[in-house]
Amino acid sequence: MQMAVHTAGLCKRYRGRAAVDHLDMQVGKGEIYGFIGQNGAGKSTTFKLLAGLARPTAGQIELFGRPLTDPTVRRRLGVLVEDAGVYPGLSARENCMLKAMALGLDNESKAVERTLGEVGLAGAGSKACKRFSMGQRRRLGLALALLGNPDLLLLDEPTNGLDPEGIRDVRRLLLQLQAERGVTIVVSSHLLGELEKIATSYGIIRNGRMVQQITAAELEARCRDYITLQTQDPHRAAAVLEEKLGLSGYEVLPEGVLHLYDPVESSAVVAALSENGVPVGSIGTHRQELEDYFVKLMGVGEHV
Amino acid sequence: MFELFRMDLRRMWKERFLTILPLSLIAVLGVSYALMSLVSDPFMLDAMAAQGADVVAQDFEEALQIRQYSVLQYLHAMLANGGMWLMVVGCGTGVFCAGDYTRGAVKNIFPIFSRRWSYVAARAFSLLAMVLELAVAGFGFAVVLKPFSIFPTWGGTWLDWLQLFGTTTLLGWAFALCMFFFTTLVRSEGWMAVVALLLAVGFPATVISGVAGLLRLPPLGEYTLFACSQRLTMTFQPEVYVPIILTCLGWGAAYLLLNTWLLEHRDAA
Repeated sequence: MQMAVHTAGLCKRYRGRAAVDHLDMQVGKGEIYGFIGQNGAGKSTTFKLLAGLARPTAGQIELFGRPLTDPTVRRRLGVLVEDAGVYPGLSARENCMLKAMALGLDNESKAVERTLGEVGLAGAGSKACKRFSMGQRRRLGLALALLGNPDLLLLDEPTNGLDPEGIRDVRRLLLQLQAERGVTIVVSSHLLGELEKIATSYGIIRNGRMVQQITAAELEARCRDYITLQTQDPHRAAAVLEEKLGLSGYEVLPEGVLHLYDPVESSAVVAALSENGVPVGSIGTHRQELEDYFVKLMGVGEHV
Repeated sequence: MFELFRMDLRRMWKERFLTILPLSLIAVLGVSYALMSLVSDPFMLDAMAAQGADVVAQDFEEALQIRQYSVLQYLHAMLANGGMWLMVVGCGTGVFCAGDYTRGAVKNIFPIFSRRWSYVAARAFSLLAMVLELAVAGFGFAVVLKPFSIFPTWGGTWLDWLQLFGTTTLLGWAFALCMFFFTTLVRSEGWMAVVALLLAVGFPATVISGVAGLLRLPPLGEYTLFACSQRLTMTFQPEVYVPIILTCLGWGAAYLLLNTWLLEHRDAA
């Protein structure tokens, strides 16, 4: 598969502190890549590097197999990083027209009207952007990124500030772009549930380093069903289950909680523990979600 | 580059730089003319003296001199010696250029253009267009004013008018490129207005001259854009005209190169 985005040893240092630290990233062409990390992990800095808005301290960036300095590749980019960059005294239409002119689009008005319609700003009229709500500014930022039919979209929290309907519309739009035009999308979001609905692969960043890159299929396999049981002595319970049922995939958690990841019937677990005098407070089957997986990977109690 | 140039012109029009700036220049010229005609009116001077103001013979002589101004002389006094031209150009172009950074609009421009020089070159041409429009507005105002004014003559030859118009425009353009460079450093509309005013009134030029004098260096202050504005002449004098052009072109080229280098080595956002 051709790589839409490939970074090798990418570094960005600010006053001696590494915001991005030897980041190796691979995004396949046509993928929707969910880029996940805590606040301050380096997501926005990575987006700026990929968009050519910041110069790397070290490392390489290639888009569609070509260096970032290649002018033909830059024309294939659509970018929304942090706040939408707009001229506040101008309307949404005017801001889009300026971008369309910079891109050298053939029929600028038509492209602008279509794009504003796609993001739900067709009725914004002549209202100046400084009077837009946060959600409207976000939509405008998305429109600016979509102008020119880019092959690669870099979207830093595109649904930030949007209402549920807006979030749904953006999700549908991104899926449509990927399905109909084969657009590659690198998207970050704190709404992991939303990312789960669209992403085909994920990259998890922590302290500027890529912790893990995983496909959605692999994540699905890892976020398997598990049994959670409550007991007064989880360590003894684990030992019994290991001896009697041969279980090895388990995790002892605080407050008497035991997670069992090996495939086993709940009834067999209860029976084994009862026979060996280990009382069971409660038992149930659960499914690990992306948020749980992420929090577990980052460490208990840390924020997305 | 041409796309960016078109984008800049449209933005200048839509954000009203192409209307507000010329109108501001015309307003300042108009107010200045009104004050000039007042203080040069002998009846006004008599009235002021009758009210107890300290009006001496020299005031009447100066009033007579003003009333004998030509239009060209008026333009020269207002635009060149007065520093008004650099102030209007500086504030207008500085605020325009800083607008790219204030709300992050550069995030829509720089991802598309990997080579910063195309942005710099396009902006240089659009600033030239803005300065040219301002110069036409200023000179045009004086031409329209003439039939209704206190000035009895046009003054100078067509070559004198052409050289004043040309050097004023060139000086304004070089100063605009200076503002463009400082915008890349400062990246704030508010601070750019302050920087523009300081540069337009010759603060750095004064400091440079003072330091050069203290260190017994050549008169470096003579090679600043502010010094050029003070040396603009009403009549065509090649020995004055050519060094001004060379200084403006030199500084313009220097600011363009510095700006490109700075943009290549500094993060845009």
